[in-house]
Amino acid sequence: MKTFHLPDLGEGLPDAEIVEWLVKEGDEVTLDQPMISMETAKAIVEVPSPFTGRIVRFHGQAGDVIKTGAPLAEFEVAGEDNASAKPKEKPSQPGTPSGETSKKRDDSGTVVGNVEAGNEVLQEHLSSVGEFKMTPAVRALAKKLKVDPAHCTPSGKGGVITAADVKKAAADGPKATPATAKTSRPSAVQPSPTQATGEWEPLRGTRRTMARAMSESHQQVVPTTLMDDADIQAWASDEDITARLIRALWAGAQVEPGLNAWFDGDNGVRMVHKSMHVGVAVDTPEGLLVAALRDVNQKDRSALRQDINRLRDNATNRSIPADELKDYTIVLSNFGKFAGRYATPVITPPCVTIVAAGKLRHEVVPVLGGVEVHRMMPLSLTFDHRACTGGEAARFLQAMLKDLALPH
Amino acid sequence: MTDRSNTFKVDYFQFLGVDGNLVQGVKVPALAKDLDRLKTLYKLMVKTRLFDKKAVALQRTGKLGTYASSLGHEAAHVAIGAAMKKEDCFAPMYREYGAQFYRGVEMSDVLLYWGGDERGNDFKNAGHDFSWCVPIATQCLHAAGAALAFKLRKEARVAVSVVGDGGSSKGDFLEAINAASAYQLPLVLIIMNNQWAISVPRSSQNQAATLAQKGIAGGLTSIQVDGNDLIACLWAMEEAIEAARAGKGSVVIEMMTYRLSDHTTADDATRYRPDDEVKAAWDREPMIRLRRYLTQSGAWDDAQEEAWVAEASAEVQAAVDHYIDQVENNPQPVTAMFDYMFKELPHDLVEQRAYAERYPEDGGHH
Repeated sequence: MKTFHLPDLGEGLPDAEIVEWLVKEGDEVTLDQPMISMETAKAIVEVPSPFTGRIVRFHGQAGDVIKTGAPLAEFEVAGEDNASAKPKEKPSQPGTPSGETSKKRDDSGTVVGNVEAGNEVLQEHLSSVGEFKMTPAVRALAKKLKVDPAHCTPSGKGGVITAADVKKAAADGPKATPATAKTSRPSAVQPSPTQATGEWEPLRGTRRTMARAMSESHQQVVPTTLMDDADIQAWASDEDITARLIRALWAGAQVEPGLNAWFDGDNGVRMVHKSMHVGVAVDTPEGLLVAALRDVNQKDRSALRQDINRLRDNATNRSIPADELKDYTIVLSNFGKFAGRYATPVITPPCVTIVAAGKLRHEVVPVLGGVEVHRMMPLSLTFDHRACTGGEAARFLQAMLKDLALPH
Repeated sequence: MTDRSNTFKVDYFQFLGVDGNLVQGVKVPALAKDLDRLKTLYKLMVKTRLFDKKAVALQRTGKLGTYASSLGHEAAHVAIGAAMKKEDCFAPMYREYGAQFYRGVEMSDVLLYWGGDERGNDFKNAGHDFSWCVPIATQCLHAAGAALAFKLRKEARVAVSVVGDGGSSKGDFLEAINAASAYQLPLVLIIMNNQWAISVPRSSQNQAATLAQKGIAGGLTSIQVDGNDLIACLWAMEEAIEAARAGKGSVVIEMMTYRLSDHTTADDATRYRPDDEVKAAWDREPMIRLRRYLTQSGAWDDAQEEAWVAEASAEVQAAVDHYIDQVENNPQPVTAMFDYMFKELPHDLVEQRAYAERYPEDGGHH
């Protein structure tokens, strides 16, 4: 049996999606016969069969995303010499991925990148297309200093890890065990450790987008979170919480417009918005969506409520138009209908602010001449400290609290 | 072709029609009747196309890096190689395999190069030629420099360079024209106009009626030929090379062809190029018309075609086997990138070379 691993179909592409198999499992195929159509970030390309023989098994179907280097198909090749087809396995070294991806493969699928030392070359490949952006020289430095790139805070343009970042991580001393962390990171197709009872499944669609967006945020943003409580004792019992929160956001922006802004760290520019589009975080079974409510500052309470209802309906029906999923200027998360008081919500660049409301509660508050029990709404505001000062954020939050304290 | 009057006319030459018949009403050069020679060149075109298809398949299956296909350029490329003498110097861009094969570059050299192996640049049988030049148009100045050396040494040698339609927009190309004009260099500059500079169509590159007319600015003889017509390409190349060799100055030839493939294997031309344009281009491609001509002339038949395809395919496979064997069983040391670049290594690179040498031994850990 020979395994064909998905090669890098472009230049440094991490994965490709199966568009269509041009053959069937069990088919006899000849070398270079068109076998499968794959879509990468750049192109749709036809991959020919690398062998003459019989296709025993596919490792994915149309719509599946296959990682570069992961198995794509199994072949039975006539006259196959089992001994020579066995991978020449090298023991994993610390800091290199274990298992499938670090073996020299029998199909020579990486013959180009594998000339010197399979482990090294492959690891370089993985880290260059994966979550770490760093030049080969910096990567070499990280190895020399035994620093896991995962423990470096990228300071370079576009999230690039610089030599200084590596040195800083080295100076900060070892955290966890980088080699183990890396080695135990399984690829999507690897057999699980013996104790595991689930199966690795590839992320798709909304969940995949969420993973990327969060990772991007983590690499770029310098987040700082403020927390406080809004006293909403004066509210009527049927007050529209979301609409009030949105109004409060605008109240904050009138005091500190710099939080209703976009920030581009690569180019050192920001755009302070004159109008406010609130991105509302929506929890769906497929993952997190952020849908925009447009020009909230120009809408009265009932128009706002209509927009909110429409957004809810669309989210339920999974039919939010694509252009409503972008270009918001500030984000609101109302996670508190379930549980949780405060949070450290994550900013989605280029926005610089997210406000999250936690679960409402009653709390004893001191008032003139005694104590009372008031309804309180816990708020957590994360701002990007590259774009805003702590003072600006505090005044923004103060204005929100003041607006929320009003009866109507 | 040596008229330098102030007329600014760019002549266009085509001798072999898409139907495989010689064009009526023009004086067809004598080489059109040299069927043995044309047959030899046709066979090389076939082999080049078989090689090209195989190289793309190798990239798609992870056995080759990014590769630039020559699909559709076979007549132009083979004609360039066939018109040159062994002692001449070729400075290619990066997809002129047909010309290179004629001049002695091995198919396995091409594979090694695109596989990232320095040995691919070391042409055992074409040692005077330059290696591939990816930066766009810089090779024109390399060729101009070689031509100047030939002139200073009073050698009867000619330098030939190829640039794309997109590359002709670059200063390097225009500087090469100026140098050729100023020094009366034995230089032939070919603009391989395949209509697309990656995703930029010819119509968006500039408003000039021809690209060849850029040569007129330097006073160079400048013509256009049908780049899918082997006879026209070969005739123009031979005329240009002999004029250059005789000290009559440089020539610019714009070869009108079409890139039937993606720009490289890292490209997807369907994203920017209309299907019907490509379909129409296939009707004008260079192989079938020459095959028809040879067949009608009695110099070629289906049995020969079949036998040659089998033989050439075996040659291609042998080259692939050699390439795979080299990278798997006889890999280059990492220091090759230094050793192939300099005769004597500059002192700052001596340290880097030593570092690179230690690197794999230490398993990447220092």
